[in-house]
Amino acid sequence: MDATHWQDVSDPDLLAAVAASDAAAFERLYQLYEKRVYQYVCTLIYDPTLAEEVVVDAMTAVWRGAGSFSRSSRVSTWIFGIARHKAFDALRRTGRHHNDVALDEALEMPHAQESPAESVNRKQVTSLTQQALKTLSREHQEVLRLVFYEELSYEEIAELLSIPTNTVKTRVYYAKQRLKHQLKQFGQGERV
Amino acid sequence: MVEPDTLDQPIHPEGALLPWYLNGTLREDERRQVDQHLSSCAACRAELDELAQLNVQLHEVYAAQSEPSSRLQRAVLGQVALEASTKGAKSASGPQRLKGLDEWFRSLFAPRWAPALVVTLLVAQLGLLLWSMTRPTLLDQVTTRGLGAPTVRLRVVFQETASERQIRSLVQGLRGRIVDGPTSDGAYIMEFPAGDQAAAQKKVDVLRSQRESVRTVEPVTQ
Repeated sequence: MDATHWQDVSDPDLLAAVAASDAAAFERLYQLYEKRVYQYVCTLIYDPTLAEEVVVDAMTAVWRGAGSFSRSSRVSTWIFGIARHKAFDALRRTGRHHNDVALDEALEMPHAQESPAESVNRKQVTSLTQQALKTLSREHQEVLRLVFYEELSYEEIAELLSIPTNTVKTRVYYAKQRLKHQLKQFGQGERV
Repeated sequence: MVEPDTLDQPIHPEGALLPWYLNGTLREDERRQVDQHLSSCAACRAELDELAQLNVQLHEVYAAQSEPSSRLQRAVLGQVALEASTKGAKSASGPQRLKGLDEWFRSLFAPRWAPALVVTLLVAQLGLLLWSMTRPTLLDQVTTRGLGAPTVRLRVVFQETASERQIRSLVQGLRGRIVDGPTSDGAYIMEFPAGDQAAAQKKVDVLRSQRESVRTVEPVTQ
């Protein structure tokens, strides 16, 4: 039985099959989550090679620990939780914890060299947003991604980050404010 | 980084929920509450517009992010395949071991063992019985000279003048003993070891030769 057999199976059922040591089910689950987990880890770790090592660790941990999934949360939240844990382990191990862009320092980043907002095209807007994002702290980048791309609820984010729901709301609010501020600095403020 | 639990400027509670209003994860009651608020709050409507535009831009950024290398998939699936094969081998050997243990336990009660076990126990019991019978006991150490080796019984009448010491010395010298008497005519029945008739006669002769102590000696007919 190959991964295509599991094409239309829900994430919880896939994980149940993985718990029963079904390697094909795992392959399907991996296909669904590889990019999302890798990019989420890249939000936390700026080194692509180290990020890939973390994904290997995280996904093999998913394989080994699938039986411990309780279905009380979404599969995505559970997998991201494992990936986050592994990412912080890697940061501690490699001593890169302090290389992040701090929140206060982010405001002091040099301005981008791109053209004014009136002349940028769609691609450039994306590029500016990407650069503005990079100036944010890891925590702000993380919550923005979890809300707008992974579409997690504030309760799920609170559980994943082990912080109160009110802190989630304020963190997202300030992250959005910082991003808006950076986009203005880069000359694209009037678009947001 | 420590985030404050409250916002530093007046923000409507519903405004703080707008990111999740946008991503569609609010509970129904929360969504209705935000809807109601938006209908009457221009600031929050503007905030929602901003978030919607930001949402589009962020999606484009995330979609354009670099993808993992092909090595990553090979590494993960290779690792899992390896562990799956090991796990399979282990799970196969697990029941095998359990089955073996079960068979061993059952074999203890298998009928083919029963006859052998009974025979073994019987032999052991018989051996124990024989051993206990042949083992010398304290009772065996008390000798009864009338038993065992052949003896001759003699009816002996001692001289009136024979002292006890003379009689004892004579009896001990011949390794005999007084088994009965004295009778009404003063005779004692004495028993001496004698393997055959000649030995018995020799005992009689010795006794008769002791005239100072022995008056008469006669064999006792059984």
